[in-house]
Amino acid sequence: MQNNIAKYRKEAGVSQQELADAISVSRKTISTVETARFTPSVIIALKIAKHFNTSVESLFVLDEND
Amino acid sequence: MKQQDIKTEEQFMRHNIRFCISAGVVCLLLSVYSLTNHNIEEMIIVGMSVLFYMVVTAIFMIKAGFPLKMYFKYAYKDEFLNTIDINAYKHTTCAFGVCLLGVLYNNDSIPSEVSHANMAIFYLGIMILVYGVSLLWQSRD
Repeated sequence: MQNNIAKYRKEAGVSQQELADAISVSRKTISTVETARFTPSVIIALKIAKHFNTSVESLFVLDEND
Repeated sequence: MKQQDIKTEEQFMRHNIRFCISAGVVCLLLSVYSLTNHNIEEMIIVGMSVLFYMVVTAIFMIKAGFPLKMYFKYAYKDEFLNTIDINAYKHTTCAFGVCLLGVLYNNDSIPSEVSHANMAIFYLGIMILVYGVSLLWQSRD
């Protein structure tokens, strides 16, 4: 599963730590989600989407293998 | 969940990684060293080294200032930290299993004078080291 979190974050001018602080997770969570090494729960996905005022579908994109 | 709790958990995880890797290396060195021939003076040096390590670790743990309950908790509040902690336990279990199989397979080549204490320290060292390395590897950026 790919995601556009890094793109949204950079567009908003927010650092990983600031995003982590905003949704109450660790910075490592954001870092590993962005690099697609960790798949977050629905709760975290919804929190990130809410933070960027967008939908979960626009943040996360399914691969052909998923 | 307070952000301060998450930051404390992150610090605790870093502290845990450093402690596990160093303790694992010390246990392995101790177990391997005890298998070789040595005299009483060398044993004193090893004993003093381990004692020094334990004192440094105790000071480090006290100065870290984490709440006492964190040392007895089995789950992290942060989702990612909890996941890598569970994965590290799985890796540790696998490593222990491989170690047991290795010892079972090479049973004849292990000298009979190797004590149970030596083997216990060896197993402990492997498990702690794998736990620490697994956490370190999984939490890389």
